[in-house]
Amino acid sequence: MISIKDLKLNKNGIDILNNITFNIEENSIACILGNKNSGKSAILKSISGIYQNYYGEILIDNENIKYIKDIVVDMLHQNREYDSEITVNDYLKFYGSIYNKSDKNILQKQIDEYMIKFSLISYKYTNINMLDDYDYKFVELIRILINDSKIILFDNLFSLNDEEFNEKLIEFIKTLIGKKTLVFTSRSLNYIEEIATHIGIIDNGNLVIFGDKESIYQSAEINKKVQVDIIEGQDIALSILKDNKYVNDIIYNDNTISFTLARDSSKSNKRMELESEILNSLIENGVKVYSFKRHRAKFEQLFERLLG
Amino acid sequence: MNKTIKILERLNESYIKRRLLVLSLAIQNIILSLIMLMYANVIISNGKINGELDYTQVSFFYNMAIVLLFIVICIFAPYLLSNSLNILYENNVIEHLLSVKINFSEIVFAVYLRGIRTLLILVVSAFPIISISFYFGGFSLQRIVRLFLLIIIFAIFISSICIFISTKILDKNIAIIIAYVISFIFTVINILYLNKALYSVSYTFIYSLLLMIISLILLSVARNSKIFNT
Repeated sequence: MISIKDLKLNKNGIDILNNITFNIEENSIACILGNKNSGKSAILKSISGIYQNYYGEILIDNENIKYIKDIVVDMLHQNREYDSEITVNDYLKFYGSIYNKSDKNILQKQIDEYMIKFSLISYKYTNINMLDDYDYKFVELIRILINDSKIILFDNLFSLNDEEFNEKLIEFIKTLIGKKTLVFTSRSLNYIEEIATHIGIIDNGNLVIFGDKESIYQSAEINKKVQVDIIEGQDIALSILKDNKYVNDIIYNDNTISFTLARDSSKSNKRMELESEILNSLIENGVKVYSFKRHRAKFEQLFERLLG
Repeated sequence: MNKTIKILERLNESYIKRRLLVLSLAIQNIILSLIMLMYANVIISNGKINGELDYTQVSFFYNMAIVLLFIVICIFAPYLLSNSLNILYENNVIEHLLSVKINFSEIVFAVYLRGIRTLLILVVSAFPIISISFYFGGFSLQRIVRLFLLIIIFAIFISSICIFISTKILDKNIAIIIAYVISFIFTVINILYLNKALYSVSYTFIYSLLLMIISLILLSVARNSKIFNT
């Protein structure tokens, strides 16, 4: 488990982080959302050990990260190394040796296997600076996989606007679910909802909220809309819905009725119960329902609401 | 130390710097060889005319050779070291290394060793020419060894100043200018006081010890620098 307690960071006289406190459970996937320069990368850099002159504590399994000698945390950086005049293979070998993979043959075999897996084998002896951003990100992923640390930090992983590439990344990340603790930062709100179990929102160095996805939805007071497409019996459906005390904001148009459920029903289980109750009563009263679906709340909406 | 060596292997000098090193190595040794050839030619020509070897012009040639070596140190130490950390920082290398549990002090030390290594290759390559010429010019072996020791220690000293500047000034251009100014001042002082330092074994020892102590202080301060705000 990662425990961050009262994390404060000041850089060049500017407060980057103010009293950040939250916990990330083992094997969960946390996403820290925030605008540019909000401090989200600073949190990851503090966890990874890049920033060391912070106040507060970062504990990993109750041990202060500053005193842990093994590389239990690895980070996929937002910015690449530009200085290296080395090949992809040498780059991976260097980090492999830092990760104490002492047997050179095993390390090389591992590198080759991952390079084949990510279709990078043709770039094995290419200068790392010659790679495009997409391939470089996959080289970084290989580096992280070689280390096999239990916590992986991804700084702005979905910064490239390439849907196919991002889908590939998502597929890859899904293979790590349940095996690793993953922490993301993101400016873009796409792709995250699918994989995150916990969400934190940071604004100007202050953590606005952190918690599991459902509780964040509750805090954001987002009532998920339910949409019912009706073939026959719209009037009956409308009267049933109006009589239900949990149903709000009814909008109807031709054969479609949409509504939201009241705030106190926003717990996931209760919502589902209520939804099935409403659907049953519609059918029992002779309404012919074509479809009954719930719209998922958009992260953009969540973000705007939380930041006011 | 193991990590430092790994970083040292990883952080090779750039392609341009490596090329420049080879070129400088050639130029430096060609100039030194020419100086020594001129010296030999003058002495032997006079010997042919007068029937005796005249050593009165020896000091001029010797001083030229030594000054040349100090100038090489003065030119190359700031170039190799004064903005080395700033460049690594700008290129995100420091950040990446820190994220895999490599200490900043290990990075500083590796960069320092890299600079020293290059500088010493340059300086030490001139030793054979100088030692042979000086030996035949009447210098004792002990005095030649002491001279080389002082040159090496001076190279270490100037390198320490440069790495110290690299960890104190974030702007790489300002860092290199300041490093050149300071290196020039110390080179002039060193040349002026070289004869005194070479006067006796104890003088050489005290002078070397002083430079080494200052170097160690500068290096330890540089290793704990917070300029990159890590």
